[in-house]
Parts: sequence; C-alpha cells; structure tokens
Amino acid sequence: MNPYGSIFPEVLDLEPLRKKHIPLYRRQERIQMDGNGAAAIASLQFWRAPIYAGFPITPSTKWLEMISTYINAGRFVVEENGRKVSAKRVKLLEAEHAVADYLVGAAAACRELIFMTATSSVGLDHMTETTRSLGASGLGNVVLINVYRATANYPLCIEGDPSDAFAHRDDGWIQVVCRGKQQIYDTLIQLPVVGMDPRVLIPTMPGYYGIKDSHRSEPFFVEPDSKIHEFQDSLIPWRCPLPGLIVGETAMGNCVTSAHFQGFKWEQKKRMDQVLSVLTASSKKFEEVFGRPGIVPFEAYFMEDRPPRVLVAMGPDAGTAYEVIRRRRKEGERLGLVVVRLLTPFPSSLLREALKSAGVIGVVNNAFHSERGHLTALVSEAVSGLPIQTTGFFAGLGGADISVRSWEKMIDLLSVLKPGESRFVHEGEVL
Amino acid sequence: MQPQRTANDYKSDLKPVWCPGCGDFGVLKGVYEAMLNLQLDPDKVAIVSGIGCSGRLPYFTKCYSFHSVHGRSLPTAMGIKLANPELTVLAAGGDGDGFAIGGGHIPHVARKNIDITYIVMDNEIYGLTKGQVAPTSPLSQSYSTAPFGNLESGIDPVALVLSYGATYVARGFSGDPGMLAELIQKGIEHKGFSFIHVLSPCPTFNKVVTFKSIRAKTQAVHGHDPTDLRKALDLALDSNAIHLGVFYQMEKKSYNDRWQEVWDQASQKPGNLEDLLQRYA
Ligand SMILES: Cc1ncc(C[n+]2csc(CCOP(=O)(O)OP(=O)(O)O)c2C)c(N)n1
Ligand code: SF4
Ligand SMILES: [Mg+2]
Repeated sequence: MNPYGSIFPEVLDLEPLRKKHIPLYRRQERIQMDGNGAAAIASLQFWRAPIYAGFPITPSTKWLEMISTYINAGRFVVEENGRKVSAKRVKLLEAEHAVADYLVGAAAACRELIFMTATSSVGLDHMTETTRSLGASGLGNVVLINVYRATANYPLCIEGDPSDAFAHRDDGWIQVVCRGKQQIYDTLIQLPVVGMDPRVLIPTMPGYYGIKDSHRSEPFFVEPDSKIHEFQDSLIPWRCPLPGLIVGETAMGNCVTSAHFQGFKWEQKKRMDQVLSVLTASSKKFEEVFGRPGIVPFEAYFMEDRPPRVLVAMGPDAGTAYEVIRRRRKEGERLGLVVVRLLTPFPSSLLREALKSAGVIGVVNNAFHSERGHLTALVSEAVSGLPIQTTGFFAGLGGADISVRSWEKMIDLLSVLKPGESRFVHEGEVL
Repeated sequence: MQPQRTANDYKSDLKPVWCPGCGDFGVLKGVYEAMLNLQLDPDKVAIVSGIGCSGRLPYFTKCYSFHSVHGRSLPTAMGIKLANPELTVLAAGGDGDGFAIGGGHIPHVARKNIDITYIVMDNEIYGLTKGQVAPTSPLSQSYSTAPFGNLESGIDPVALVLSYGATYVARGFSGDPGMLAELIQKGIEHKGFSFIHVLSPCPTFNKVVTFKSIRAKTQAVHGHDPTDLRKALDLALDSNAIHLGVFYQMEKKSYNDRWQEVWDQASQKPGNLEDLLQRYA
C-alpha cells in the first residue's frame, strides 16, 4: 500500500492550463502598490491558480477586490473551442467557513494547482474547524493569506494586530510573517513550493500586518510570469501525492481508532520537521532565480559581535527598532535585533544558536492572549537551559505604531526588568 | 405614575454615523417610535446586532446594546431572552449578516418560536465591506464583485422565513418610518418570533436600489388575511409587486411557554435519578 496515496496521472491534463496563462508581466518592473495589491499581483501570476475564493473582511478585502478587478477586466480571457473564456475565476462564498471547505474540495481534486484566499481576524477564526483539518490533511496546495487584524470582536479593531495569526499557530500550517511589499510579493511566490513539496505537504499561511502593510503603498519589483513559473515548476512535482488515510485515497474525515490516529500524527509531524530544510533549499533557489534573498526563518541585525542585549521582534515596526539600535550602537551600546519570520514551525534550534551569547533578551509581542505572550513563550523555550534572562514586552497592540520613544524605553528596561517580567509599553510610557 | 416617556428617552448620546441618505436612519427612527408607542422602559430592552453598517443600530439607543459577531445576533439574542425573559429583546442586522454567514440560525429561532423581534435591514449588498454581492442581490444585477452581473439568484427573505415557520412575518420600508414603526411595534407585541424585513437602500454602494425605485415597486398589503399562510406565501412570491405590511401572524406557544408546559407535566411524575443514569451505563 502506498502510504502517500495513489497518483492518477491521466486524470488532469495540466498542459492546456499552463498554456492558457496570460502573463501579467513579461519583464522585471518596479511598481508601486500596497501590500494587498502586491499579494494579489503575485497570486495572479501563477498559471497554477485558476480559481480564487473569498469572503470580504477588512483589511484583507482589497486582495479579493484586486483579484476580481483583474479578472473582470478581461485580463485572462482566452479562446477555447471558438468561445472566449477566462482562464481565471474568483468565487465569493457566503462565509469564511464555506471558503475553507470550498478550498478543501478544489485542492483535493487538483493537487498540482494552487488554491488561494485571504482573510483576517474573526474571518480566520470562522474557518477554524476546517483549517485544523486542512493542516493535517496533506493539502499543501492551499494558500491562505492572513492579513493580520486583532481578534476577536471584543473590542473590534481592524488594524494589524497579529493575535489572529498567533491564535492559529495550532492549526498545523506553515506560517510566515512578512514586512514590506517586496517581502510580501516574494513570499507569495516562494511559499507554495514549500507547502507542495512531497516531503512537506502542508498548507501555507503567509501573513502581513493589516493597514500598516496591507494598505500602505511602497515600490517593489515584480518579476516576469515566465520566471515565476520556471521557479515554481522546478520545485513542484508535475504529479503531487497526498498523504492518504487508511487506504491512501481519502484526504479528510475518515473515522479511525487511536492506533491509526497516532500513525497519522506521526506522519504529520515528520512532514512538519522537514519544513525548515525544504524552505532553506527553496530560498537558495529563489535567490539564484530572482537575485533577492528568499524566506529566512528570522532576520538577524547587528548580531555579528554577539551583543549581550538583544530585542526579538516581528513585523513592520522592526524597521523603527533597527534605526534606534543603529543609532545607539554608534553611541557605543552593543545591542542586537532579531526579526522573526517563520512562525510555524518555530525555528527554535537556529534561534538558540543565534542568541546563545546574549545575556538579556527582550521579546516584543504585538498581540496579547494570555500570560507572557506567544512570542515570549516561544523564544524562552528556544533558549531554555542557557544562562539568558528573557523579558517580554507588549507593544503595538491593536496595530498601534511603535514609536522611537517606545523602542528606546524597551531597550532601557532590558537592564531593569527581572527575568520573566513583562510590560505593556505605548508611546514611551510603561502602562 | 410614571411620566410619559419621550423619544429622547430612547436616544443615546452618539450621533448616528451612517452615510448621508442611508436607509438605516429610517429604520432607527422606526425602532425609536415603536418603543415610544409602547412606552417601553429602555432599561428593560436589549438590542443585539451582528456586524455590518446595519449592525451599528444598537449604539444609538439607550437600551442594553450588544454588538455580537458577524451572523450571530440571533443566538445571542436567544441567550439573552432565555436567561432573562423579562427583557424585550430585539435583534437587528443586515441581509448578509442574516442570510449569508448567519443564515443557519433563522430556521431554528423561528421553529422554536423564541419571543424576540428580528429586524433585517436589506440593502441587497454587503455595505460595510463596500458593496459586494449578498444573498438578496438579484440575478444578473451588476456589483463591484460581479461587474457583468450576478451569477446567483437572490433569495426572498419573506418567503424563506414564512416557510421556516415564523409566527409573525412583515415587510417594511425605511422610506416610511411611520409604517415601519407600526410593524415593529406589532412584532414586539407578538408573543413568539417576529421577523421584519426592511427594504433599506444603501445610496453609497448600491446605485440601483434607491428610495425612488423601491417606492415604484412596492404597495401596501390590502385585504389580506394574515392568518392564511398559503396566501401569505403567494403574496411573498408575487412577481408583479413587492408588498409591504404584515404577511402572516399566528399566535402559537412560544418556546418559554412550551418549556413551562413540559416542565409542569414532567414535575408531576419525576424520574428516579439512579434509574435514569442506568440508561447510560
Ligand atoms: C466572520 C466575519 N467575516 C467577515 C466579516 C466582515 N464583514 C463585516 S460586515 C460584512 C457584511 C455586511 O453586510 P450586511 O450584513 O448586509 O450589512 P450591511 O453593512 O449591508 O448593513 C462583512 C462580510 C466579519 N466582520 N466577520
Ligand atoms: S455604506 Fe451604505 S449601508 Fe453603509 S452607512 Fe453608507 S449608505 Fe448606509
Ligand atoms: Mg446589507
């Protein structure tokens, strides 16, 4: 029995679909757009993405609007048997749960194609019943763009607080955080090949901060569609397997005994354990093809001289942290900065190696659910057993900008707070 | 004696923040007026909404207001009513909130006949998220997400809720807040689930459904026996005109009444706990 399910080579003829693709770009160009636009453009450039699905929710709605605008403008119209048809379609469903299930059906039916949606906050929560199953299903060809927005509705805030992403760390997806439009665009291109790698087969959840990144424009480079296809086709197998359950053909929903259940989870874990190496290899290929670095587990700044005090942050406000640290280093303070990108699976070993000489670490959480914050818990776990003092901050909650004063304050507090302590900081004040 | 309440007793300090010309102003007026006519104590009224432009309605009243999550105003309202039957409970929301993401709840609240009043403000689009097609958007109509025409046919909330077994079903128009107030008032007075479908234009994102176009297509229900369900369905499905008024009203026991009845019977012959537990051994 093939534990990875059967492959039915004759069922789907991919070649006509590939030929039908109408490129958006034929050469590299520098364009200016917001983050939702950057994500939409990348999504539209895949020949493997004939169907998009969605349900509107701020701040991710614009991704859906961009996709439908390009399609409705006739940008992908081709002739087929004497009739004009659109090679791409978009489907608005009646709720997010329906979107997630629609993607399951589509992705299971065509494992070589990429099925995408975008959502935020309670929209992602609404999908939860299915996203958990999807995470385990082996349908690595589903891409869910999570445009971060505070969850839940009490109180309702539409700005970029990654509490939605953190609440879904247990969905079993590959979650990557982006900051800046180039990163968003590049991550969208690279991540599906990681999820669809036969060793991985895990759906992917690229994410970026609502409003700060989703709605603010910036110039970035777009690549010719042909180059994107060359990159993706070199890493996505022409025929994609699916880790089946019991007989190898069922993706989801079979009822099993605990013995089978464990075996399935063991397989799932093995696949998750492959993510880091597959990601790293695909990043190398990405750089070879596009000349820009691919996805890294985390970005490390000013870490060469092994600074004793390090801030671990996430998201676009890390840019302000970078500037503050750069200035303070000029004044003689040895400070470092780590910006996390791979949220799940969390790159604990690599981070432990990078942080091992630090004396004090300050982890900056942009979301609060409970206790010290997810990021602090993850980083503390990564460095456990090392003589490092880990403190935590909550800053930028609800998508608030983290000002220079706030970063200064957090750096100052590094030498004051006791290990394990955490503080809310806003506009340079400790709350 | 309690002095006569005035409209101001129901208005909160918040100024409504809908776009100029939004139909939802008229619905709010109808709600104020219905409460005033009934001289309801605002401290004894809970208004629950879902998410949407329409979902802001409770903010502007002095009653207990509850902005629930998208599509969940009905189960929240049901929870409030069952926990505190003394309260008059209203639920308000949009066509998307009620018939897309929350569509699964209406049949169940209707068949339970929970004593709440549900007002759906129908602008035939998702207003808050800027004009996408909704379940009430008619076939072939153009929208931001369907510029060449909607591929899906729209549902008729009145026909649907009638077939779900609701015991009070009416349709109003935000351009006629007086009539709407009457329909809401009757709905509140009705013992059991009352549903009021309100045609409420969104001048910002739906340029087709306007006060003028609604006026041209609607007519008040005349000479109709509201206890006749078949006739009510005929009226709802009439393709020549959109009818405004009470389609159906039938007094049936509410969920709380039935519960009390069953309990009265059951308490006559209480079961033995040990025996009952044996069933699950
Ligand atoms: C779970 C969830 N998904 C999506 C949204 C985004 N959203 C807010 S309002 C709305 C639709 C509103 O349409 P409708 O209910 O018709 O109300 P209107 O704004 O037209 O009054 C949507 C999709 C949300 N708030 N929660
Ligand atoms: S967008 Fe439409 S429904 Fe919303 S407040 Fe404005 S007019 Fe009313
Ligand atoms: Mg609406």
